[in-house]
Amino acid sequence: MAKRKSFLNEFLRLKKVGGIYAKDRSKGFRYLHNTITKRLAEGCEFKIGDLDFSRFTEDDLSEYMRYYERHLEPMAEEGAVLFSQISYDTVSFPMRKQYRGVA
Amino acid sequence: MIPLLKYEITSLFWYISKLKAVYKQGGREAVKCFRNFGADTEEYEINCLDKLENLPECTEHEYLREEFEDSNEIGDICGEKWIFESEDMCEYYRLLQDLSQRKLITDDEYRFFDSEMTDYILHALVNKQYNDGGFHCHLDDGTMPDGYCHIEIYNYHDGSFGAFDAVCGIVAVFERYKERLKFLEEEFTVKDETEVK
Repeated sequence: MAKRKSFLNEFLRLKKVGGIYAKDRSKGFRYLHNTITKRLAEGCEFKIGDLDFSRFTEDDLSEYMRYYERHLEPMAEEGAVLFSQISYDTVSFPMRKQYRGVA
Repeated sequence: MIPLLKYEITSLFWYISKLKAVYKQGGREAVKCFRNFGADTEEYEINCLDKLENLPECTEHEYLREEFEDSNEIGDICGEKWIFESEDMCEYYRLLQDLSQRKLITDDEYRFFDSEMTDYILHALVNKQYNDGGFHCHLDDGTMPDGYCHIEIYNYHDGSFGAFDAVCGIVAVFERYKERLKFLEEEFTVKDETEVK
C-alpha cells in the first residue's frame, strides 16, 4: 500500500535544493524556517516582534529567500489553488444532505 | 496552513531584509517599532504613513496644496510634509558648536562629526527612496540665526514614497543622534573636566 504523504509535512521538511543538502543549512536559515514559515503553516500568528534579528545573518536571510522562492512558493501556490477548490466544492456540495418532508 | 497561503510571504521576507539591514547598522529601535506588524504586508505602507505622524519625534504633519502664480485659488492636495526633531538632535549640534568654540575639538573634528550625521541621514533615509521626485528631505542643524534644529521630509504625490523606509530611516537617524551625543559627552566633556582639574 502506498504511504500517505502529508502536504504540511512535505512543505515543512527541509529538502535538498540548489545542490545544498538540508543538513548543510545554517542555524540562521533553520531559525527563519521555524520562526516564520513553520509557524504560519501550522496556522499560528506571526509578528515581526517574534523575530530575534541577532539569530540570523543577511546571508542566511537571502539564502532562505532563494529557498522559499524556488521550492516553497510553487508548493504554496498549488496549495492555495487546492484549498480554494475544496472550499468551492464544499459550497457546491454540502457535506450533509438535508431532506424535508413534502406536505 | 491557511495563513501561509493567504499572505505574500516573499513580500514579508523582503520587508524583513530591509529591517535586518537597519538592525545591522545599529537601528535596534527601528526594528522594535514594527514589532506588532504581522505577516500580511498589504497594509504595511498605509500603516507606516500613520506611524510617521505618530513617531515621538514628529512635531508637525501637514498636507501640501498646489499653488498658482496668478490666482489665490486653493489647489488640490499634492503632497505631505512631516517635521521631526528631538532634544538629543538639538543638543548634539549645540554641543558640537560649543566644543568647537571652546577649541576642545579641532575644525577637522567639527567637520567630521557634522558631516557624519549628514552622511548617515543620506544613507539611512534619503538613499532608501526612489529618486523620482516623490521624496525630499531637508536638514536644519541649528546653525541658522533662529537656531531651529529639525528634519523635514516631503512626500510629493506625483512621485514614489516609501513610507516603510521613511519610518525605518527616521527612527534609525534619531537613535544615531542619541548614540553620538552620548559619545560626544563621554569623550569630550570628560576631557574638558580633566583639563580643568
